[in-house]
Amino acid sequence: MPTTRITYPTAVVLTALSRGCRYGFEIMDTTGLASGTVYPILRRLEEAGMLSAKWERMADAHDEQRPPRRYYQITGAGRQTVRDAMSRFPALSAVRPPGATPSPT
Amino acid sequence: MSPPSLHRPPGSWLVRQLTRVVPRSHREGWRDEWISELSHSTLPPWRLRLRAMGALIDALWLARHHGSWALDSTRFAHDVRFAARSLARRPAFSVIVVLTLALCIGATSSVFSVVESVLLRGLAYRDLDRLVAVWSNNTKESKDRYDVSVGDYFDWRDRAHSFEQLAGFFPTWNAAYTAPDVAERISVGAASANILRTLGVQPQLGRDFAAGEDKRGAARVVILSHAMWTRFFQRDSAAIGKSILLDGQSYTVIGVMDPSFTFPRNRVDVIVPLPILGSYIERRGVHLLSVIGRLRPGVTIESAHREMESIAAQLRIEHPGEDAGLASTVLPLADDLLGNVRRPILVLFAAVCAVLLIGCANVANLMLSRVMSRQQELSVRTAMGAPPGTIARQLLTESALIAVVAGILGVGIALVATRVAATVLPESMTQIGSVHLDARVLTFTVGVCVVVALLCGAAPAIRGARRATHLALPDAARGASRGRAARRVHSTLVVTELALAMILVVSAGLLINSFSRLTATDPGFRTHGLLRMKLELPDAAYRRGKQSDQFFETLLREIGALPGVRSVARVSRFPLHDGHLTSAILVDGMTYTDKDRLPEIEYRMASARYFETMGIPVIAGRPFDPMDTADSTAQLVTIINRTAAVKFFGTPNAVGKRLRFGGPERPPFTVVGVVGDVRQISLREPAAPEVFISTRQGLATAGSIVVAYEGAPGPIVASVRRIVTSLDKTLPVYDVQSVEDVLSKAAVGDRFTTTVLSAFALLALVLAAMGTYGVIAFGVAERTREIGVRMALGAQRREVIGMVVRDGMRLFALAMPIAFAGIWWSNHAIATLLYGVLPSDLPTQAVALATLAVATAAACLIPARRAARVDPTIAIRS
Repeated sequence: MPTTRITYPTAVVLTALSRGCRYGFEIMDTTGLASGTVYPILRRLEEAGMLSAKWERMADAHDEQRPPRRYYQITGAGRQTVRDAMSRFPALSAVRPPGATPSPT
Repeated sequence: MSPPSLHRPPGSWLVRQLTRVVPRSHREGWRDEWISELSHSTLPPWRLRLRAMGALIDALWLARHHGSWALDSTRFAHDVRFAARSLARRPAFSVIVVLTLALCIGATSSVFSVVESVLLRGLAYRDLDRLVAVWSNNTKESKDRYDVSVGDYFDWRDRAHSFEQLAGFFPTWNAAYTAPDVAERISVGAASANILRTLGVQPQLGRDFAAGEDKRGAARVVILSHAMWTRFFQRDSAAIGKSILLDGQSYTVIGVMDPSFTFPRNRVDVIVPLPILGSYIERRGVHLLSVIGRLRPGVTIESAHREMESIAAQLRIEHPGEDAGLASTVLPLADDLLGNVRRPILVLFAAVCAVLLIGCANVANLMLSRVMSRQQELSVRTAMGAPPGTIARQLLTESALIAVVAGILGVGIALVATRVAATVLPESMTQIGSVHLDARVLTFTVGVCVVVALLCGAAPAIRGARRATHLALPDAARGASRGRAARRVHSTLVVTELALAMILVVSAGLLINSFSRLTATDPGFRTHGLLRMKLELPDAAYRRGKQSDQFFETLLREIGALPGVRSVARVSRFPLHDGHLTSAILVDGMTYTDKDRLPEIEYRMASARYFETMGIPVIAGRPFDPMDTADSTAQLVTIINRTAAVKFFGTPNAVGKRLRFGGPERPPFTVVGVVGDVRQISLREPAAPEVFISTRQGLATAGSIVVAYEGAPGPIVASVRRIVTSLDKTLPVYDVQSVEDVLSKAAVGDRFTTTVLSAFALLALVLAAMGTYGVIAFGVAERTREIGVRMALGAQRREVIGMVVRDGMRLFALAMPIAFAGIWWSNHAIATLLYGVLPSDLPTQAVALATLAVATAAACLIPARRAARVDPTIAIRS
C-alpha cells in the first residue's frame, strides 16, 4: 500500500471524516478548505488505504430525484493516522462534526 | 458506477470541459462525483462556480498521477533529446536552417518593434480616438493643412462647443538655456496652458499649467521633459520651484513629464506657455500654430468639422483681410501625426513578413529533402512498430526545436538591430516613440516562432509519416512515381518563394531608382564645400539695427579673412533645414479687393554675398550689396526667384518691378535681381515663389552663417567659434552642419526605407535562389538514371545543362503571374513613397526581374553541371 505524507490539511480532512463527514462538499463546508485542496487529498488518502469510497445506492438516489453521491469512510489505518496526527497538530481538535460550523468556501 | 447525470447545476459546464483532462480510467466516476456534489449543494450559484474551479486542480492531479501526462512528459523529453541528436548528426543542415530562420525572425521582430513603438504605442495620449488635429484650410492656395493663426486659434477656442479642450502650440521654437557653466540652445514646445489636459496626460512631478498661465504678463512657468530633468537636474525633485533662464528671462519650473511622454510633432526639452513666442502671437495674420482638440463624448469628427466650418465662415466675415479664403479641417490626430510614417513602416513590415515566409518555405523544403534522404531510417522505425503519428510527432519536434533555437538567436539579432535602429531611424519616427524590445515584441516573437515551427514542420511531418508507411511495403521504394508528389510540394514552395522575391525585388528596385533620383536632384545651391551654423543675438543685449548690423559686419569680415574661406554670408533660414515662413505679397499696379486673400510667398532675409556663397546663380539684375541698408536715403530692394518672377510678372526679368509685403500700407520694395530656384522645403517639392530682403533692411538678428570653403571644414568651424567668443563670449554657435549633412538629412526617411527594403529584397533573392537550387538539385539526383540513358543515347552535355536550367526557369515562369498580381498591389502601397519614378515604371521592373532571373539561372547551373557530369554506364547500372 502506498504511503502518504500527512500534511496539516491532510490531517484536517482525515479528522473531518473521523468526525462524521461523508462527502467532499461536506468536508469543505466543515473545514473551510477549498475544493482544489480537498479532492486531491481524498484521492491520495483513498490510494493510501486510509479511507474507502462507495457510490450511494441508485435506488436511494432515484427516490429523491437526484444523482447518487460518492461517500467516503475512514478506515482503521486512517483512524490510527488521525490519532498520530492529533499529537502533532493539536489544532485538529478544533475540527467539528458536520453542520456545526458552516464556513465560507 | 452511476449513469450520466442529467442535472446541469452551476459549474457543471466547467467540470464537463475538464473531464477531458482526467485519465480515461477515472473519467466517468470523476465527472459524476463532481456533478453530483454540485447538484446536491444548496450554496448560491457563484459559490458553486468558485468550487467548480477546484475541479481543475483535482483533474490535473489525477492526470499527473494516473494519466498519459506522466507518460507524456517523459515522452516529450525523449522526443526533444531525439530531435537534438538527429539535428546534431547533420551540423551543416542544422546551422543553415537555424541561421536562415534566426535572420528572418530577428528581422521580423525588429520591424515589429518599430511598428509597436511608433504605430501601436507611440501616441500615449488618453482616449486617442477622441483627439483631433484642427487645421486652417487655405482654399486659395489649396493647402488643406495650413498652420493656424493665433487669432483664429483663440476665436476657435472661445466659440467651438465640440471640444472639451482645444490646445494650440508651436512645436519647434528654441531658446538659449543658460546656467552656471551651461549655454545651450534647447528645443521648446510653446503651448496653450491646456495642452496637457487636452492630451490627457499629467506631469510625473509637480503640477500642470493653470488656466490663464498662457496669458501675456502671467508669471513665467516651465514644465521640463524627463530628459531635460535628468540631464540638468540629475532627477532631483527639488527642481520643482527652481528658476531657469531661457533667453535671459527667468522661468519657474512647475513640473516634470514622465519619460514616455512625447510632445506632438517634435521632441522638446521644455514646454512653455505661448507668450514665449513674443511678438509673433500678437499679430492675427501670422500662421504658426498647430491645434489639437479633445472631442466631447459623443461628438463625431464630422459634426466637429461642420461646426468648425461655420465658425470659419463667421471669421471670414469678421476679418475679411486676414481670414479671407480660410476654411477649417478636422482630422483624427493619429492619422495626422502618424500619416507620414505609417506607410513606410507598414511597407517594411509587409516586406519582412514576405522574407519570413520565404525563409520558412526554404526551410520546409530543406526539411522535406531531409525526410526523403532519411527514408531508410524512417522505414526501419516503421517496420519496428513506430506508428506514423509518432514519426510525425518526432519530426514536428525537430522543427519546433529549430524554431526555438532560431527564435532565441533571432531575439539576439533583434536586440542588436533595434539598438542600431534607434540611431538610424528617421527623426519623424523616433520623435513619436523610442524603439526597443519589450514584452509585447517578445510575445510577438514567440508567436512568430510557433508559426514558423508549424509552417516549416507540417509538410515534412505529414510526408515523413506517410512515406514511412509506404516504405514499409517491399519494393515501394523503387516506384517510378516515388518523388513526383514530393517534387510537386517542393516546386510549389519554390514558386511561392520566387513570387514573393519578385515582389520584393521590384519594390526595392523602384525605391532605389526613386532614391537615386531624389539624391541626384539639384537643390539649386552648392552641394560641396559649404558650412552652415546658427547664431542668434539676444534682443536684450543687441538693439536691432545699427548695433546688430555692426556685430555681423565685423563677424563676417573676420570669418571672410580666414584661410580657406572663399565667401561668407548670413541668411535668416537655411533652405531644406529651417522650415518655412511666408509673407503676404502685393504686386504694385495690380488691384486687390478686400475679399481676396493675398498670395503667400516664401520669405528670407539674406546678406550681401549670400547668393555667391550658396552658389545660386543671379539670372537678372544684381545681388545684394553693402549699400542696401536701412538708411532713409537707401532704396528698399528685394530679390526674387525665377518662379516668383514668372508667376507674378510673367517674365524672368522682373528687375525694376515693385512689391509690398504684408499689406498695401507697407512701403514698396524694388526688385533689383532675379535668382535661380532653390528647393526650400524638401527635396521632393519644387521651388515655391520666393523673395529675399537684405538682412540690413529686414533687421534680422537670428539665422545661419553660411561659409563657402576649400579644404577641411574642421579648422574653419574652430576659428569661427573663436571669433564669435572674442566678440561676445556669451553667444553660443550651434547646429553646425556641412551642406552634405543638410542634404543627407533631407533624404533621411527615404534613405532608411530604401536601405532596409533593399536589404530585405537581397535576402529574399538569396533565399529564393537557395530554394531553387535545392529543388533542382533534388530533381537532378532523382533523375540520374534518366539523364544517364539520355546521354547514352547521344544527348550532349550542353543539352543536359539546358534541360536542367529550363526546369528551373519553368518555376520562375510559373511564379511570374502570381508575382504580377502581388506587384500590382505592392506598387499601389509604395506609390506615395516614390519620387520621380512611376510605380508602373517598366525599365525598373524589367531590370529587377532580370536580376532575379539571373540569380535563379545561376542557382540552377550548379546542379545542371553536376547532371552533365553523369557517367551513363554507372548511372544506368545503379
